[in-house]
Amino acid sequence: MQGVVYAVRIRQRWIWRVSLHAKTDAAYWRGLLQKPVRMLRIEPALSWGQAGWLREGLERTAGDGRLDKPKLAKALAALEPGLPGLGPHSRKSLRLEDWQDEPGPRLEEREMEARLPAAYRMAAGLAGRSLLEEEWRQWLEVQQEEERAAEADRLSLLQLANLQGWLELTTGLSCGDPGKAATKQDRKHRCRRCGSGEASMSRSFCLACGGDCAYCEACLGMGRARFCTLLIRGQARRKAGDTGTYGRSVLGVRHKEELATAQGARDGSGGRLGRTAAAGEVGHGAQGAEKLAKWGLSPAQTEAVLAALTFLEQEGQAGGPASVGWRGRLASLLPRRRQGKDGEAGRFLLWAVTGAGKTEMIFPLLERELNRGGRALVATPRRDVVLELLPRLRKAFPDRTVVGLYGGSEERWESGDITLATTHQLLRFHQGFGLVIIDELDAFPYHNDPMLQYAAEQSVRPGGQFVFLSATPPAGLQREARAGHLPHVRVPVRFHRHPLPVPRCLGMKPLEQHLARRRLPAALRRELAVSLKRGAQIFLFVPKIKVVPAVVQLLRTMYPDIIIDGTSSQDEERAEKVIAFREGRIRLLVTTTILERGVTVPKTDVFIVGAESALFDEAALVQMAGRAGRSKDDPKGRVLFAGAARTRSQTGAIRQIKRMNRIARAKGYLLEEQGRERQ
Amino acid sequence: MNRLSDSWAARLLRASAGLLAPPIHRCAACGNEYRERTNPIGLCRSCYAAAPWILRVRCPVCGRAEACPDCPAREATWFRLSRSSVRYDDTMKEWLAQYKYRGSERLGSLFGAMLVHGYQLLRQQAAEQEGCLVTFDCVTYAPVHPERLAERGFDQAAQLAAELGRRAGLPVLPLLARVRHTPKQSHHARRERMVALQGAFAPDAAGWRQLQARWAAGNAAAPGRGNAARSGAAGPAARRRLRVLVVDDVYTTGSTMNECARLLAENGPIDVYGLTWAR
Repeated sequence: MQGVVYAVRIRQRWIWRVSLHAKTDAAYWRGLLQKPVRMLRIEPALSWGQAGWLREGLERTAGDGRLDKPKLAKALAALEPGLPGLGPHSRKSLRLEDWQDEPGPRLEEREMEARLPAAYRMAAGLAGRSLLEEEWRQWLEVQQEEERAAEADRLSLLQLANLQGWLELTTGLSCGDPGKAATKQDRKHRCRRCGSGEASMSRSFCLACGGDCAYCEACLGMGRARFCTLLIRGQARRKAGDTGTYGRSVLGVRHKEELATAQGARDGSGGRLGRTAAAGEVGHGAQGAEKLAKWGLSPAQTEAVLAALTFLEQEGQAGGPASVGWRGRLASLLPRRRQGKDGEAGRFLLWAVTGAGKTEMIFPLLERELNRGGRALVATPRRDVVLELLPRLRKAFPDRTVVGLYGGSEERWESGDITLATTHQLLRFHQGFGLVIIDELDAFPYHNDPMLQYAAEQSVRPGGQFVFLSATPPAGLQREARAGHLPHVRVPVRFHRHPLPVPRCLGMKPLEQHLARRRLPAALRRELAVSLKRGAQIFLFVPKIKVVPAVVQLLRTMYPDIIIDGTSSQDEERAEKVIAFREGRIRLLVTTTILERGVTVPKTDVFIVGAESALFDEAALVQMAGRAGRSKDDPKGRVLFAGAARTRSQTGAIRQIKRMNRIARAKGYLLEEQGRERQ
Repeated sequence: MNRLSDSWAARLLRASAGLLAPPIHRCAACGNEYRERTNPIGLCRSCYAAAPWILRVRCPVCGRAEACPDCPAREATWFRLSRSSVRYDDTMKEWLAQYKYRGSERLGSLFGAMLVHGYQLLRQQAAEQEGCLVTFDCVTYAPVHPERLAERGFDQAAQLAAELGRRAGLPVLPLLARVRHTPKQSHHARRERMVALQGAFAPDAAGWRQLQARWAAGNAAAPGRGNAARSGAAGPAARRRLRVLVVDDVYTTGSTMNECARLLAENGPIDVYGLTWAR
């Protein structure tokens, strides 16, 4: 993709711009200003990345409208050696030329105005998205017939929408500080899509740039973002029902904006489409408990949802972080150490124990966002969750469109009121959603991946909000929540209102020693026998993939009459084995932390063998323990930590589980426990 | 997670431990970090082991590790020998897809480095046939069509050839041009491929001029050089034949390789050898 860099002089300023389709720009400015206008362009055309870089530099050094052409040419000559992607032998020798009319038939002003509706439709379709050129072309393929214009027309529409400020055309990577430093060391690239820095960049020869050009390796799996790739970012969508106006009046409005920009601060984003986030009409108040009745939530769920809704409501209006819970209230009295910056998305943590019924709790939150005319996104780590949740969401919101996105999804370019996506799909959105719900915040791949966290921040609209869901929030968030900086609510009880099974600890020698002796410790065998006798299925977690087969073999010799199997992340038949376990065809499944989440089987006991391993951190232990007692028919599953040492993670996990039970009991969420206490 | 893990003391400790630890490398294929270098091409231990290196050749013509139905069936084979570095199994298909379709260009230099293995196999076999050590005059490659080049942004065969040339110390000349866009090869049966390839390539004028210049220079500098003067006779007509190595990414039935070899052999006194990354 190539770009033409040009300048228009408006009231004492040179406005520098880049164009994908120069004719459109010429007609735009001449039509807009209604009089002869001084325009200069740089020849030859550059790669899109170089053009964007040069424009940024010139804007900085050559924006003063009093500069004459030789002075501008000098500024250009100063920037040229710094142009990224130029080899020593590929000087471009840039020229600054007066821009006369384009050769060939001129794009009449009237014709361009006739194109405005189509450009607007394209911009509206791209609203909230962040697409590379290649993705944009794929997106075009599924649009209505009229949008599938000829190549030149497509670019013209895109350029026109950009001139109108309806969408942003930028480059895949940013590069250094154009116009400031021209040394190689300052050439730090940053991916505009995933936020990765120089460490994730790779370079290769690029035909468009005529030299080495960087690309981002971090988000390569989602298409290649190069320094010279066109990146299209739609502006946040307008309020529903606002169809906009076309024609001269729009040009006029834009004209004024451009002048204001020229005179005042050089703010590239002044007064753009949809900047003023739709302030929703007052929805649920805190008194809306009866409104939630239709969702069939438990008391604990209802309370949590109300807290979340209150947060969303306050945040949406006041912009300040709401306080929930007494710690939060206390914190709100104290001077705030960390106040959310203006326009920064609000965050709310829904800390719900395993089996609390998180999915049901997000429905009312989604409903609120939809009712105020916004769009919502639910990001979840796994594809199977998307597939499982899609029908439930469609059933809960029959008159809304729900789109499921994941690698290989057929709805990749559809847009809907609710988007349900795997975490990586966040990369394809830009200020698209008023509400972004991140499920299993602490799980792979979102946790500890700055790229996905950046993508999440990009996907939310200014003034929008995040809701994080987790049973085991990362330490940092827990600390923030405790200190009252992060509004949150805890759901300390499962939907069936029985307490979480508290793990018991059992000492044993290191697992390797037992395997070498081909004998499991007697105490562990006794515990296994109890579980088998009561007819439970057993999850047996081990720390490492490589001990799985040995443990399976040993158990098979010990219990020849039950079906035992093992699986791990490297097992190609994992999916089938999980299904077999769900269906009860496998009685005892040996596995690693790979199955710590998501798999829920009614009557299971959990054995964690080698629990002292550093691979089992507190969160993993809580999650694994959370596999037991999920059904209301068998709420008292057994959980056992068998290890050579009692680690901090084990005590921490047990403390966390007990604390949740205590809170639940204090709040009266638990059903009366007739038999008193677990074994 | 304990609170200590974030403290400055812990960070200092980690940083100083890093000074003593062996350097961290990043695997050229999977991108994971590893410490122990087991090979010179920058793969981690498991990726290096995962690559299905061709160690024993079954087909003496194309270097396939399994029984080969294609070579005996070919009417005319224009290349003398061809060798490949790895079998084209599912893992390698995945790697190649990462490179060609995902655009992970850093794999290009990895594949080029992997070619060196096939290059050794080729030299070994050629030496057996010729009875002496064999040197090549240049490396060339089966290029992609300009249209696809614009679409993909790079020519994988050219990148492989460049990396091999660098590692083996051979010049790389663009002797071939793709003049016709051929449909994706993998969808075709053997017969169709051969038909589809007719006229897909042509000699590249600029490349040939460079080759001629080299040839003239080589003959002037060392007329009748040792192993090269196979004809034994004197005079310009009996000058030594050139050895050209054609590099490509995958050898499937050999029709692309054969077509390239035909063009080269018909246009000059050239013995063509083939080298591909996968077979």
